[in-house]
Amino acid sequence: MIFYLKQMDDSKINAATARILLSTKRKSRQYSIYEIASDILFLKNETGSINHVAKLIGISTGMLNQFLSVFKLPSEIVELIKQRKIESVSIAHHLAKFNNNDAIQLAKYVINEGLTSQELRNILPYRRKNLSEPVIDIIKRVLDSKNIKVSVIRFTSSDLKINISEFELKVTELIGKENFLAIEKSNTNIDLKITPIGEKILREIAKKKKVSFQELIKQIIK
Amino acid sequence: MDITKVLEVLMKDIKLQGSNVRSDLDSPNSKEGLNELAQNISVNGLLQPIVLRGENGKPPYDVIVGQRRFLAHQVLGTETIKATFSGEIDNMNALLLSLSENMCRQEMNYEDTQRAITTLYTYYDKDEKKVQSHTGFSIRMIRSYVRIEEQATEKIKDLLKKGLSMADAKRAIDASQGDREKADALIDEILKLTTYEKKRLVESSSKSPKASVAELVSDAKKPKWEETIVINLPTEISNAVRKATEKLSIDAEQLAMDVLVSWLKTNDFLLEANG
Repeated sequence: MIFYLKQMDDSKINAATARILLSTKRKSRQYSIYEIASDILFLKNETGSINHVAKLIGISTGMLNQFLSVFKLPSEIVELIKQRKIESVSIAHHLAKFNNNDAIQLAKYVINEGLTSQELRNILPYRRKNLSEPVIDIIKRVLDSKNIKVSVIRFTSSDLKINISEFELKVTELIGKENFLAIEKSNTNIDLKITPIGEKILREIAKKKKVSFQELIKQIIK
Repeated sequence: MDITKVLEVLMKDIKLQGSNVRSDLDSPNSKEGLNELAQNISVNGLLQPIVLRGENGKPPYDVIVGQRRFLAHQVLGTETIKATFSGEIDNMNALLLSLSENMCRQEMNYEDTQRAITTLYTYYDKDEKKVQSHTGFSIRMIRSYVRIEEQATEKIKDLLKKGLSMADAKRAIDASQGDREKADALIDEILKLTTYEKKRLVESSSKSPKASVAELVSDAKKPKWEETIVINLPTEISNAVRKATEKLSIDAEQLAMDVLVSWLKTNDFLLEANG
């Protein structure tokens, strides 16, 4: 290690190292992942290997290689990364595993639809087995197969005197039909089942009205 | 024998005799990589010598470590290559030496890794920790290889050699519940499913071990509802919660957790040590 460091320009090494250390955590990242990847590549060339970089800055080779996968991406996506529209190194790493055309389409989904790195990871094996299908169909097929997340808003017995159809109408007016899933009644409870987006909309309405979530639901029932 | 002493060895004295664990050198990926390596060596020279089996002066020598570097020299048509000698070592030690080198480099194919791990597993009398120390693989990964070797059908093993993922192989084994014919039928279906559907298929099979392949696939294709229950409390309870959170300066989620833990402990559903 000492052998390598002696041959390097200390100021450049220190600057690159500092930038990397300041920016490895996504929430407090000061530089784009492209800039970090460039620093890692610089250190790799200076020290001779990614293992030396890992020892120098105390970050695993796995994580460093994820950053370096930025350089395998097509220029269109690199541009999005430079603009900081894509901030997740895991997403960049997974996009780099697709061919360029697929990666560009998927990057659009990441930015516009919030496609996650886990979803990208699950799309990849299905894509590899279905190369002749348009990538848009592949994305839809995989996402449609996901379990549906449901927010269940449960009313206890004291709230049971409600007009179900009126309640459904009011809820769908607020959150949209696409976010309403069901109202189920049992002997003791009524469950309003909506999508997490629907729940988010209701919570935002409550925030705007400066009432609690429970208070908003009660207002809707009344 | 000094393994660190680097010598220039004639290429014609080296013959590949199978001491190296790698057998995937004819694949398109390997050939492409080999050409890249040859180009790199022609520019930078050979940075790390290869390791030959045997003693200097007693050719032919076999390559234990550095088979790709040797083949890259063949591509370049060089007369000599930098090498060190291991001395006379037995087959198992040659395998270990070759394995430890290759595990750290370009990913080995399934067949080579499987053979190496199961050979070591048998040699070390099923001691997973010894296999781990020689290969760097996790115990979980070693168990996966061993389990597949012991439980997979010939069809699944054959598909693994052709690129089937170990995860899919394990899914077929798990979902078949020990029925080998079912495993063979399941693997064909698993390949058509998305990752989310594959997970549901394995879950369904554990709940309904006797379900047919068609039933399992049909169930797997139906997305399930993952419910998060938001309880809308009656007014008096809601007010009491608000008072408590203000007085205790904690948020409602923490209060709910404390109450839940307390109730579970009081009613003997949660042991004190786990609380």
